[in-house]
Amino acid sequence: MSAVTDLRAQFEAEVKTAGLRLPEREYEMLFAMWAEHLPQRQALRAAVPAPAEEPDA
Amino acid sequence: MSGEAICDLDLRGVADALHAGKVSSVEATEAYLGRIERHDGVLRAYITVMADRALEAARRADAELRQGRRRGPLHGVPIALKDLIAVAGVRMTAGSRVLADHVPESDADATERLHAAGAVVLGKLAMHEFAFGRPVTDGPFPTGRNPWDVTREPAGSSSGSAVAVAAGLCAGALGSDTGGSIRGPAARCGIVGLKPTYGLVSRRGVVALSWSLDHVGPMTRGVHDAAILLQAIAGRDPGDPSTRDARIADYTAQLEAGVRGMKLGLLRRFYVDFPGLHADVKTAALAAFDELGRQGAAIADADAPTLDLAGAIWVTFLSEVYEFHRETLRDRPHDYGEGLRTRAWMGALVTASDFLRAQRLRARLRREVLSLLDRFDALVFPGQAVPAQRFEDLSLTSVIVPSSRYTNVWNLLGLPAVVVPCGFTREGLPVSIQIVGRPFDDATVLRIARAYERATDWHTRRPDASNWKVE
Repeated sequence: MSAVTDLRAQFEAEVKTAGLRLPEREYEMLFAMWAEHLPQRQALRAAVPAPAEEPDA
Repeated sequence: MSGEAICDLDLRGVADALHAGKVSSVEATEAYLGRIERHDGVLRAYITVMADRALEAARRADAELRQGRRRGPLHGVPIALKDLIAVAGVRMTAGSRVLADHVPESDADATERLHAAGAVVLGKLAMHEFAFGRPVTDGPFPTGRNPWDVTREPAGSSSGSAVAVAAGLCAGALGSDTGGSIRGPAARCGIVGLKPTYGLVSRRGVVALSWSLDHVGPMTRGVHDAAILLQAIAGRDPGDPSTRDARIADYTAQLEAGVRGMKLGLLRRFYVDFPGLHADVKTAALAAFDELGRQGAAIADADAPTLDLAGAIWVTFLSEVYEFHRETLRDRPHDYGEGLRTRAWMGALVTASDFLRAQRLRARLRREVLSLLDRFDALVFPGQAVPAQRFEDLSLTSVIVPSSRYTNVWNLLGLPAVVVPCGFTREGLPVSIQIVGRPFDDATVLRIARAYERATDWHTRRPDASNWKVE
């Protein structure tokens, strides 16, 4: 599969897991936002805190 | 004193005129109501004008003054509230069809305090839907127009608050700020906007957007005005547990004390060197920092490496927004505007572990920034990335616009942050600097802002009402 197809499949899986059922137009808008936001999420997951770093907010 | 002269004053000017007996509260209220009547058809700052209630409150304020009772500097001063801050018995929409018929039974804590201080509430101000929607030009709750150029947006979400203050449709206003919703509109409309320390001002009676990021604060023409409003609304409230540790100060006492001897950290790498920073904003902001240096502040570059992850940590916001709207979104999706609805779904795709990772990194960022604030009295940087945009140029698909880095970091950290005008672009659009301080040291950020403000005349400039026309 191409990277684009992989992305699409990943998105569809996440939407399904979240239980969202959206009209086509919104589905496509959400995909565009999700894809745009993906680098932020990848940065989040790549930034591994030290074991002692607790959430305190 | 003519009605136009009253509306040209800042809040402190109106307060002084009332105190000196140059104008009554009824006269001031009528002046603003008249100006709203003349201009709000174009500017669209108000969702609800409370003319009868405002005049009734003004008459009471005048009666008290005649009896020698003055509650304080806000006594009889006409102000207005973003339409997510409750006034008992007055429709509160949050700019959404979802709440189109909602009438709260109780005042918000901030409203109670303003009433106790003698302020006159003129009405409820326009906002982006639930403080997270997109600017809209049609429908029941259109976004206000920027008084400096009515073809441009005023930013949001406290759009009406900024427009009303900048255009002289009220003496001061309250907005709310979850990712920049006070500071963004204030910067783009050329006024002062203060996001107080998280927990200093109660959120009770304020429609939530994101509990850990929401702040209520003043939007005014001058720094002194902001201090007066903050003084009135700050304080502990059993109805909002986040205020349990609130530390109140006298916010006007040290306003004129200047910056000599202060150490200011300039967040150059993250903000000044950001490629998306408009050249005119950069030039004006750097000149403003030079002015603070001339006044005796020592300015040095400062940095916190985890700032680079602030956008990633912002999933906190997406999760909290979705959690708040989850059931209503599923039951009544079409009562929401498309701009909000689609972006709110993003929160459904954030996993629990992503959310917790964000909280751990948020704590790290907080440690880094508080460490900076051990060395510096405050941090400074440009108040915005870009000036006001034309409505047609706005991105309607981005979940987070890159320019939000100038504001949303400080919601994540809950630190006091103020924007103050520092000039205009070559196109005549206002630009600002931003000052961030230590927790509950709101007095210092206001003091620094005032030191800059009093050396300049940006805050005295007014948009030209003869340009408030649309084709």
